[in-house]
Amino acid sequence: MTTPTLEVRDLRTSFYTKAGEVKAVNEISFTLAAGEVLGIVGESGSGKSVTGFSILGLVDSPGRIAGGQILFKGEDILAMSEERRRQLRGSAIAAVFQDPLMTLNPVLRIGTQMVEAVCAHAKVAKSEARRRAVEALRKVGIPSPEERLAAYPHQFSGGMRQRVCIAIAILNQPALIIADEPTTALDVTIQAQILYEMRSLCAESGTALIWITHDLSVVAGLADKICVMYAGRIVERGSVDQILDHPRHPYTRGLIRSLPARSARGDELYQIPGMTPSPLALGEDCAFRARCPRAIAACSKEPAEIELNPGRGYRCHHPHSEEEPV
Amino acid sequence: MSVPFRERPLGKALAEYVESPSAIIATILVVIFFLAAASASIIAPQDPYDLAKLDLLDGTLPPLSKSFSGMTYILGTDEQGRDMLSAILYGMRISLSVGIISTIAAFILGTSLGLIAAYKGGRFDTLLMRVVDLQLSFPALLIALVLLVVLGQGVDKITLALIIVHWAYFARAARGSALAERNREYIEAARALRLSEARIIFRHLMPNVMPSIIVIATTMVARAISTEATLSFLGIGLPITEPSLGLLISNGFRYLLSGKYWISFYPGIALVVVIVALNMMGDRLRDVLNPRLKR
Amino acid sequence: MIIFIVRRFFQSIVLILAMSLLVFLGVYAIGNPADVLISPEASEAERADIIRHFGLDKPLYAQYGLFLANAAKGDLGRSFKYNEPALGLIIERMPATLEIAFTALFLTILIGIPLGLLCGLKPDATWSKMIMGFSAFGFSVPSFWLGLMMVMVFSVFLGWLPASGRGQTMNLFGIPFSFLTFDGLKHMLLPAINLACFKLSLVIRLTRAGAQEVVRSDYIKYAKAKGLRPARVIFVHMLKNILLPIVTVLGLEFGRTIAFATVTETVFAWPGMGKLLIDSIGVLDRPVIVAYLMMIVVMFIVINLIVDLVYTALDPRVRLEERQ
Repeated sequence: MTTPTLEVRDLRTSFYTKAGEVKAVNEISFTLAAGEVLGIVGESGSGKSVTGFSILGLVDSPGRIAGGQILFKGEDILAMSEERRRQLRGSAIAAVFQDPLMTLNPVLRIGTQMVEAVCAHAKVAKSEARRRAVEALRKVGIPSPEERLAAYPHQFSGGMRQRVCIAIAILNQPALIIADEPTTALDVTIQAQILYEMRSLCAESGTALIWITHDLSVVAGLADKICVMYAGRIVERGSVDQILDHPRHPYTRGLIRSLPARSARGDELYQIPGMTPSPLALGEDCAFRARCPRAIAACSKEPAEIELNPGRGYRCHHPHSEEEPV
Repeated sequence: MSVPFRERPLGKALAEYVESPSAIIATILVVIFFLAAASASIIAPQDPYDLAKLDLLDGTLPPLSKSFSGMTYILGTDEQGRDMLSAILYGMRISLSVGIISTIAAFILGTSLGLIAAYKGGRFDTLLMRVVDLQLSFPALLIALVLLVVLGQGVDKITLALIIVHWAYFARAARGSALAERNREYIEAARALRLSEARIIFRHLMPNVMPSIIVIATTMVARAISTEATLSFLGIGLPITEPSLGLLISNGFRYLLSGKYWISFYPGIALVVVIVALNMMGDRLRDVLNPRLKR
Repeated sequence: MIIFIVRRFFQSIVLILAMSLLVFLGVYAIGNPADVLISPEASEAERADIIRHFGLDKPLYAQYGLFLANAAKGDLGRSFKYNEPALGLIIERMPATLEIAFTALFLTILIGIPLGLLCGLKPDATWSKMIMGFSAFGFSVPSFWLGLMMVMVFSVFLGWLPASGRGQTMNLFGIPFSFLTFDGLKHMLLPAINLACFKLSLVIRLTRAGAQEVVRSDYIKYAKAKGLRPARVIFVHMLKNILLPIVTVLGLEFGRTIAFATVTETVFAWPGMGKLLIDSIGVLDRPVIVAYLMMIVVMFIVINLIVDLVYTALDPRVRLEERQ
């Protein structure tokens, strides 16, 4: 078996604040093979973004990676020197963030920001770097790329800007792209286009993709496998079909039920009752207990992960059965 | 049901304020200086304005020298034989009173105008803000200088000049805070009750704007004292008959170069300690009161 | 862009005219112009002369017209003390003031921005907190006292630098400069540092605040995610964004610096515009005071204009919005 592109083992990332330790990522594990697309789905505060930042090594203080291993092509990123991590970032592991208006530097031209991404990782002439930038822009579907290099970020529309960010991500032919809510700030139609393009780019080049989102419907058509996160833990994992057709965890079911597409016209939209718990208020019990329609006495103790097959599992004392219709 | 003091907003604010040791020291210093200045006539070893008591032979004596009459000049004397400690106490009294009185007046004037402008909006607001912006774009010192040239010297004139210079800061701050509060529900409720505008502005709007204005007031007192001292040092501020700390420093300037530093140095220390302590208090107040404003 | 410049230029002219009206009213309408413009020692003939020249016996609007006409020619009255044109005196002293003002600006940029940047990137280090403490000090303490302390320490006790005066100067394009001679530099150092103190504290605080804000921004995180070298992240991505507001502040503060030079020049007996003003106030040499005011107003407005233009040139968002 070939080494998976990414293997995360028992990752723990915490924020050490005056009010206490916030366990944003609490023993997360998953694997990702080359060309695979993983969707990490969760509400805000579930720790999904922090997972992405942890892999990139960009957790800001007062946060810190507290334990675990992140094996990129077999090598533990956490054991590497900062310099080696920096070399991986932007070349072998690339990132696309949520709002390109905020992530692209407003006072620098697009060309500058693309060329520097190339030159930071390879000793090439500026002209060669420009050529690669133009190529990348062309690939993501930006018209007249040579002229667009001289433009500033605010001169692009939202969808175009995000395409530029994707172009920057693929510049150095990464083995892994981490995309954190890349389409959340975009119109629905643009969203669909971007999804499609990312999918084909990754399939073409064998790049593994982690797509972090709060919207299950987005990853439904895109991902090969899904991890559902809640309060810092993965509460259910599986292939996209398994998750969507046979969700076991009550939270996953709740997410699927609350998708607007699932409701018939005129019906009230389903909402998971209650609110995400404050990360400081987590106790010994299952974090979802207060909102769970299926809570039982056993739920006063946090459930351990039950693995049905490799890559398929959930954390629940009282899951739905396999056959229950959604 | 009465709420214990510690739980009320004022109590909470005070409790947080005293958490900082530097703020406590600063406050204590300010209080000491204030009390010392207020009781200058009682605690000063000598009345520096009583010309009969001065002995020119005692002029420019270094600190801790003794006079012929057996009194110790703790901080030395100036060229006229005045005890520096007494001169500093009396000078502090003038500096502090000018600073505090002018700030209180500027506070009342500026805050009222700012609140009214924020509440009423429209032309009054635009006009006021134009004036404020124009005034604030020029350095306070320059405006004070020009005013004093026109008005002449004297305690009342310098107080007036300081008021004219500083009201604008209060107006701008009050307006800013009031604009944020103006659209809150409690103002709407007061309006719905058909309360008079004056009542809404001063009994409903103002108390909620107070915290940030008080922070500014503290630093403004420091600024007023500093500006007055600078003007007196330049010879434009208070006349010799009412010497503030600035004038004392100016007086001693020419002796500095011949090594008789104490005539300028000690008044200078007193001045700087008061100003820095006030600023520290203001900083701490800002830290304590500001998070609350982000309710 | 050209339209923008032209528009701002005309705005400035209007503002200068408005300020001149204020000064005029202050002097001619409220004050007694005869006191302002005629020396108390003038003879009857001289009195009549000046009254005619400035139209003091004519109605107010005619006086204003004459005032403007005279001002345009550079005639703002004659100094009582020196019996020379007031404006000429001011202009003669301007290079000295500008020299320490520019040196102060230079020192502020050279020391303040790097220090502020360092403090912003490492806010929890002890030395960082110490620097912030010092800057709070320099910010609140009256500058004349700082000047006095500098004289005390460096001139009286250590004897390293002279306490007053300008020292030797050398002419460049006919204007005397101090920095071209070693003696001049020695004399210039303390006043320039004193003038810089306030601005230095301000710039350190602003740069630090700016750095702290920018370092947490999304585009810096993104720049790091691209794997750029830390040096590039700081100097190319962060610096430009931090510096933009600081440039504006520095520019606007420059005008205030020139005004504050009055204090520094008095402490160090530096023969600039500020010292002239204070001396003139002392002897009630009013034409000089009026000339100084007009000069300062014009300088302020010109500086504001330049700062606006520089900011527009630097921030691509503003520049391109104008075009659209």
